[in-house]
Amino acid sequence: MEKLQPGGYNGRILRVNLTGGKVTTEKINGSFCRKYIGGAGFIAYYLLSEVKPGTDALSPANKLIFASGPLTGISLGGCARHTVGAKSPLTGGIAKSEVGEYWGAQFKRTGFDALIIEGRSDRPVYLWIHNGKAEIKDAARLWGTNTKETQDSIRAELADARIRVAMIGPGGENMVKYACLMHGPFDAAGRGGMGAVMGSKNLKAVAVRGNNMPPVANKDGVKNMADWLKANSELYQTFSDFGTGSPMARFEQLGNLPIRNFRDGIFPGVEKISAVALKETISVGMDGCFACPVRCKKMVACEQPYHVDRAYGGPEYETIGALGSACGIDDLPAIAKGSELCNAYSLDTISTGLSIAFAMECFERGFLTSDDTGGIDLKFGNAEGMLKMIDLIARREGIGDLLAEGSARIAAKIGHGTDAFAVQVKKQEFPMHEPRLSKSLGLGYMVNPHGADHMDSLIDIFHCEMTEKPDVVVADALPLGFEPAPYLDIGPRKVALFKVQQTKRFIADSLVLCHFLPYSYTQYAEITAAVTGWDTSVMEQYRTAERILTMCRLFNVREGFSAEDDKLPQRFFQPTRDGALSKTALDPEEMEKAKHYYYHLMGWDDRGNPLAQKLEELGIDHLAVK
Amino acid sequence: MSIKFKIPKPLQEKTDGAVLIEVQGGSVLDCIADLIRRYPDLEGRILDGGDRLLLKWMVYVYNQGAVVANELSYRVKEGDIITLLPMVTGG
Repeated sequence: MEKLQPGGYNGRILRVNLTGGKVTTEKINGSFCRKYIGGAGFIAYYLLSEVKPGTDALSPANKLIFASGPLTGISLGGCARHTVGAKSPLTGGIAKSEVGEYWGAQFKRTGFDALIIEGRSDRPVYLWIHNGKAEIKDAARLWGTNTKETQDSIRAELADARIRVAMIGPGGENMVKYACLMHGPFDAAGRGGMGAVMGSKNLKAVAVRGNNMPPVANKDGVKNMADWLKANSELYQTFSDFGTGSPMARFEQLGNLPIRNFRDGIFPGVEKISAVALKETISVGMDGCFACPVRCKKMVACEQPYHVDRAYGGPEYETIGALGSACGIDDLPAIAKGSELCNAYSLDTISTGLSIAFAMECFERGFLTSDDTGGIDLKFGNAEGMLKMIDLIARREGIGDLLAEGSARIAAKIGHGTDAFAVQVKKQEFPMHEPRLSKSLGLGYMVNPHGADHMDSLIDIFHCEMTEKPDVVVADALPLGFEPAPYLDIGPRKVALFKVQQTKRFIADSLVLCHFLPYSYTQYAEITAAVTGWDTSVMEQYRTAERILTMCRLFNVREGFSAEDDKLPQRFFQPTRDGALSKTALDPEEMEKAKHYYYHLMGWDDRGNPLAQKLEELGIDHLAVK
Repeated sequence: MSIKFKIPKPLQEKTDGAVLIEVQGGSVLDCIADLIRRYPDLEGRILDGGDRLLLKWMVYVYNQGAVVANELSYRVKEGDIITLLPMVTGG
């Protein structure tokens, strides 16, 4: 039995039922913390335990969970993050999304490890959590406002400019299926529609401020890691200089850049939209998250041809790809404006961009007409059209009401086989990396429990040197005894490497630790030991990640998901029309084999259902689908 | 003209531990070629055998706070420090 309260935890959960306005707290003990860690692990546990199968994701019965991990809020680079989760209105399965900023660090100091929000308020409200207390406050005047205005109003009302605010804009209020949950005006828990769930509960914001950080077990251990990070700044210098998106021209050259809804391979304007071009044109500096030396957040501003407010930050690589090259747009100020609008309205830039890109392809192929678009010539490359679509989506007006449903549902409505080029898995749109170039990334898009997602995948091309016969070498996997695998392969060796990377990412999302920091798997265990006091190891973390992944799978299985849902869209079994991948496509049989070998490694059967023995081994048989 | 090449940690074993090395050339590519001439063990570790960077690297030129990325044809000037950093990206 673990001691009641390991380092890094408060040992308390806050539960708020908005239907009756009831606020309660619950204790969690050391055994629970060690088994499920926090972040993604806590979310999987509570959703699986408390949300009944078949629950409507936008009903009061769904639960919205904010979960920190033992590392959240400690003074070490990469430890600013927390996880938000719920049943997803986009996928119908489990969803989780991580975010940095300062919210998690402040929340941790309020005296809680997680916040579970239940029910639905009968009027707009916001939640104010401060030093062990929580109050439900009226938000009628805030409903309809953009995110920055919301944050400013709450800080003014509570007379404290250091309050941190998680909130939604009109996109969340109007329950756009992929509305995100903003933390401040430029950091998003982006994926899976967490903003829509918050909107469904009539909850506008969660404001936090605290002063009491739980102690860590070994301060010197944390300091040593901070010293190591400082001494190895070259490992993240690229992020510090440019943020994400500096290699976009290389991406186009190699075939990693999504171009016109992942249809094409050549994009002459790529140099105009990369993070390098951004730094030379509209950048006004960099910003960062709590205690992080990397400072990878771009800040941009411009007046012409669009007024872009620096308060909303700047576009990340994913945003530049989704609103830019995926829509055939090489107008950087327009992309920055689109990023600003998505942040103001609380829309996931990835799903927004790819829903628009899908509509653009439908328009060019005649499946949508100008009658459908309200007269807008929605061709690839139309920057004004892209910006107009964002407005319409957030307000669910005109064609925006359809686009607010995401590309899978748009395709279902239009028909005519358009689902073949709706670029999504489990109804969640692809991130901006090409699975035709990185097969294990494709496998990750297929089997990720919350739909297509690059953050929990192995992107082959980043782990090879592109020599004549390159191998994918995952540094974290070598000391665990895993072999390198040929770059072009998706056989058992590569699948095993994918699993090592996926488990590492799930541990990061449970601790909760930023993926951009260059810590090894071993260092994850060392940091965890220093903070909690546990005598832990990579092996324990690998097994804990297996447990969390299997819990996510259980949630989806009981919602009716099966191996049939772990599939890429038809587009990726054909080459791009031109460019580096004009002769490269995925082989459906090869990807199916890889998927089944992954199931095997996870202890799941051929339908993807976790085996009873595996659940017993992982100590989660009590959570099995009944 | 003084141009320096800062060797990233993973390659320092190929330069006998040297970190900051003076190089000569008119462009970034010339300077890399000069560096490889001085330290032949770097052959295949920076360039792909021709004149393209290995995918894993981004090349940067720093000079008094300014930074230029990814341009092997960039004309170097007095005081420039060239370095390689791992290619990283994300959302």
